[in-house]
Amino acid sequence: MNKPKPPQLPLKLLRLFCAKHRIEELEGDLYEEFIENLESKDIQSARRRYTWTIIRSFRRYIFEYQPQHHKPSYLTMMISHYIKTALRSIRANKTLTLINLTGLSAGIASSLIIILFVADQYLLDDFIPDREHIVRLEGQSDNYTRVGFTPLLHPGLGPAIANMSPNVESFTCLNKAAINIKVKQGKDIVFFKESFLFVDSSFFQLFPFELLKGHPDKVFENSKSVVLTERMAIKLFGSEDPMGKTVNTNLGRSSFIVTGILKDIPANSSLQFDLLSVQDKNHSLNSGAFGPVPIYLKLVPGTDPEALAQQFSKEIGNLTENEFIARQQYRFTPFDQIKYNTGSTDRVIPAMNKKVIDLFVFLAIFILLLATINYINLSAARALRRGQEAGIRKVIGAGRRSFTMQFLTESLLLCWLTLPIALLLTHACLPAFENVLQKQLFNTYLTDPIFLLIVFGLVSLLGLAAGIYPSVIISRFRFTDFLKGKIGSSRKGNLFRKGLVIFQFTISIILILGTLMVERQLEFIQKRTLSFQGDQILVCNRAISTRLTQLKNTLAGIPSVKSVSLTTSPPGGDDAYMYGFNKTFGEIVYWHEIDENYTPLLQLRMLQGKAFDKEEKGSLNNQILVNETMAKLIETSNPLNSETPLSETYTLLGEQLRIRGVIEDFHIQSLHERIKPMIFTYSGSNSEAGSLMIKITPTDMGKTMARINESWKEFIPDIPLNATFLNSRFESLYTAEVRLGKVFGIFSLLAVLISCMGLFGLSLHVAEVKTKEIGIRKVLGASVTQIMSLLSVQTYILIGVATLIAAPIAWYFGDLWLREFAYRQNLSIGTLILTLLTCLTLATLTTVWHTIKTARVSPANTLRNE
Amino acid sequence: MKGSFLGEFEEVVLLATWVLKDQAYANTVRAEVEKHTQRSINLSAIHSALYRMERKGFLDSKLGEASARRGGKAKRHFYVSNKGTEALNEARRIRESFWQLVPAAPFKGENL
Repeated sequence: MNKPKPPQLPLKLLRLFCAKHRIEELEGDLYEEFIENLESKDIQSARRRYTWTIIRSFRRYIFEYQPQHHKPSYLTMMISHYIKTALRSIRANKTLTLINLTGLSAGIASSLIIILFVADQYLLDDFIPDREHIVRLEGQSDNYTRVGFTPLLHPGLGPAIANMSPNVESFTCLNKAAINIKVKQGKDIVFFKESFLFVDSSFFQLFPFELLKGHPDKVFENSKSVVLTERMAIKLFGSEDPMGKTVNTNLGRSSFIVTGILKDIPANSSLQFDLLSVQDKNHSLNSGAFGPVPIYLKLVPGTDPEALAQQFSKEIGNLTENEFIARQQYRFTPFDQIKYNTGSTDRVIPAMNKKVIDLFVFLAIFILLLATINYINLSAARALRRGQEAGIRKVIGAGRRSFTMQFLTESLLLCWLTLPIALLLTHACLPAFENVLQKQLFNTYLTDPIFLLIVFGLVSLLGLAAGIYPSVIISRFRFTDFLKGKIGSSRKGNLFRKGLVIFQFTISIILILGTLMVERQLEFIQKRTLSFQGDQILVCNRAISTRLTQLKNTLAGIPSVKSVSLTTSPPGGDDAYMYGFNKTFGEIVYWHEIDENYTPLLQLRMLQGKAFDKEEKGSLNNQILVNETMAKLIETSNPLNSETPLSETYTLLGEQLRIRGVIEDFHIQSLHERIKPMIFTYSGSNSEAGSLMIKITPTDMGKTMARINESWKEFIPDIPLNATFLNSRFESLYTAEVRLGKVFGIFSLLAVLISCMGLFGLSLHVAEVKTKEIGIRKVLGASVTQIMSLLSVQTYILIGVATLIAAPIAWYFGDLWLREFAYRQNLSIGTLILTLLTCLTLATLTTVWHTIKTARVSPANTLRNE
Repeated sequence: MKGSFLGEFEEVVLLATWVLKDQAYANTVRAEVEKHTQRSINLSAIHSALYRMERKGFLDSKLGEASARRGGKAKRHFYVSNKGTEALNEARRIRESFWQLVPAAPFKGENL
C-alpha cells in the first residue's frame, strides 16, 4: 500500500525557517504523530492536524539557530556589514547627506501634506450611511442651455417626483441662508447673523445627524420650530436650557421655537449649518413665483437614476400648468459627485474643482520626483568616486548582488532617517497650508497607525527605487580600471544624469511660469476693475426697507461722503439683478436698477447719450441705459430694420422703452464671466434696489464709518450694517485663484530650492572629477575666467534646454486654466525671458562658490599627488 | 533563585519525562501528559516546553535511533537532570507546606 504523505507545503516552510540542528527530530516527531493520527482518524483530519501543528510550531525553539550553522549567521553578518558601511558613507560625505536629507524630507513632507488634503476631500461625508443612494435633482430649461443644469429648482418638484415614482424613498430641500436673528439674553436683546438651513421634515431620513435632544420624527411637527447645534445653543442662550426658547428673525419677522439640539456638525460634513428649520409646506407646482431651492432625494437601492430622470422629464408636463417647469429637462447628480461639480453649485455644498485636486496630486508627485532625482543623481555621481572601494571589494570576492544590496541599504537608511524629519515638517507646516487653503483638516493623521504604516511603506519603496540606479551602475563597472585609478565616467551615465537635471529644471520652470501666470492674471483683473476706485467705495449689505431713500439722502449729507447710490447691482458680486430670455434679440438680457448717482460714482463713461439725471425725473420711467455689449447686440440683430437702431423704441420687460444712452462696458460680475448684454432702468418708487454704495474721501475713515453706522441704525434698526469696500468685494470673487497662486508659489519655491541643491551637489562632483584636467589646463596657460566658463557652461546649456521644453508645456496648461476666464492674459515672451534669467542667476549663485574655488586652486597641489 | 521555579505545564511535562524514563521523547511525553491531565495538547506546546527546560538545565537530551515509523528520522530522548529533580522536589515541598496549613485555616463563612 502506498503510504499517504503529510502535506508538503507546511513542511517546506518549516524546513526553511527551522534551525538546522533541530529540524530532523521535529520532522520525525511530526511524522510519527501523523502516522498515529492516520491510524485513529481519517486522512483529512490527520493532514489538517499536521498543518496546524506546524503553524503552531513557529515559536522560539525553532529559531534557536546555532553559530556553526552557516546561512543565517552569514545573512545577519552581511546585513550588519551593509548597515555599517552605509552609515559610514552617510557620515563621510556630510554635504551630500545634508543635501539629500533636506531635499528628501522637504519632498516627502510636501507630498504628505497634499496627500492629507486630498484624502480629506475624499473622506468627506463618509459618516452618512447610504450616501450612494442620495442624489440631487438638477434641471435645465431649453431657453437657458448655455447656463447649463441648475440645482436651484421649484420646491414643488420634490413632492412631485416622490408621488410619481415609488423609487424615491424620501426627499428634502436644502436651502441655506444667512439670517439675522435676535434673542433675549437675560435683559438684553442680542443680534447675530447665522446660517440657517431650511429643509423638509424628512431631512433626518437622508442625513441622520445625531440629535442630543428631541426626536428626529418630532422636532419639525410645528413649522415654526428650529433645531440648534450644541455650539449655537451655547452661543445664543449660554448655560440656560435652550429647549422651548424663542429665536426671532428678520425673515418675515417670524420667530422660531427651539425643539431640538443637534450634536455639533462633524468637520468632515459638507453640509455645514448651525440652525435647522423647516421650509413652508405650500409647494404648488402651478405657482409661478417661487424661491428656487436645491432638492435632494434618497432613492430605493437598485434604482436606475437615469431612467428615473428621463421618466420625470417626460411626465412633468402632466403635473404642472407652469410651462417653464414643464419644459425643463431633469437629471440627477450623485451625492458623492456634488462636491466636485463646480458647474452647478447650490450654495449648500461647496464644490471644489476636481482639476485643482488633480493638480495638487501632480504637484506632490513632481516635488517628490525632484527630490528623488537629486538623490539618484548625487549618489550616482558619488558612486563613481567610490569605484576604488568597489574594486577592492570585488577583488576580495564580492558579487554584483552584494553591491546592489549595499546601495539599497544605504538609500533605505537615508529614507528612514528622513521620515521623522518629514513628519515633523508636515506637522509644522500644516497650519500654514490650512490657512492658505481656508480648509481645516479633520483627519488626525499622526495618531492613525494605518496612515503611519502606509507612509512608512511608501517611503521604504521610495528608498528602494532611489537606490536601484546607483547600485546598477556601480556593479556594472570594470573594476580593474578602478584599481588602476582611472575614475572614468561612461558617456551613457553622463547623458542620463544630464537628462535628469534637465527634467528637474523643466519642472521647476513650469512651476515658476505657473506662478507668474496666476499672478499676471490676478494683476490683470485688478487693473480691469481699478477704474472704480474701489478702495473709496463702501458697499452696504442688501436691505429691504421703505426708508432706504431717506437713508441715502441722510448719508449724502455727511461732509466726508462724496456720493451715495442706491441700486440692485453694486459691481463685484451676484446681487439681486434679474435676467431673462429676450425673444426680440434672441439672447439672455440682464436687467439692473440704478439711480442717477450710479454712473458718476463708478466713473463710468457714456459712449452715447446721457446718463440718468434727477432733475428730469418725470420722463425717466420709460427710458433705459444699455451697455456697450447690449448696444452692439441691438445694432447687429436690428429687429426693426431701422437705420438708427439705437434710437428706436423696443419692448423690454413688457414695456415700450427708449434707449437714452450707452455706457462703456464694465465688469459687474467676475472676470470669469463674459460681459453680458445689460439694460439699466431708473429705480422708481417700488424698486427692488436694496444696496447702497457710498463713496467717501479716504481721510479720517474711522470717523466717517462711525457716522454712516449711526445713520444706518437710525433708519434700519433691524439689520446690522455690514459694509465692505468694493475692491475687497471683487477680491473675494477670486479667492480660489489667489489660493492657487499661493500654493503654486510655495511649491515652485520648493522645486527651485531642491533643484538648486541638486545642482550644487553636481557641481561639487564635476569639480572633483575635473581637478586634474583643470590643473593641466592651468599649467598650459588657461585663465581663471576660462576655467570658470568651462565648469559652468554646461549648466547654462542644460537650463536653456529645460526652458525650451518647459515653455510650451506651461503655455498649454496655462491656457487650459485661463479658459475659465472670459478675460485673460497668457504668458508673454517677457515673462519667459525673466524666468530663464532668474534660473540662470540662481544656478550661477549656487555653483559660483565652488567654481571659483576649483578654478583658483594652484595646479601644483592638484598635479602633485599622482 | 529566579528561573528555578516551574510553571504548571512545565511541571507536568517534567514529571511525565521522569515517569517515562528511557522512553521520553516529544510524542510519548505528549501521550503521557494527555493521559494524566485529560487535556488535548498540541505537539508544538510539548516541543516548546521541552526545549525551554533543556535550555534552563532541567532536562538533558541525546539523539536516539531512527525508525521507519518516523520516516527515517532520529528522535531526541530527554532525561530529567539533577537540577530538574531538585526543581520538582522544591515545587512539591512548596505545595505541601501550603497544604499542611490549609485545614487549619477557616473557609470563608465557616464558623469555628
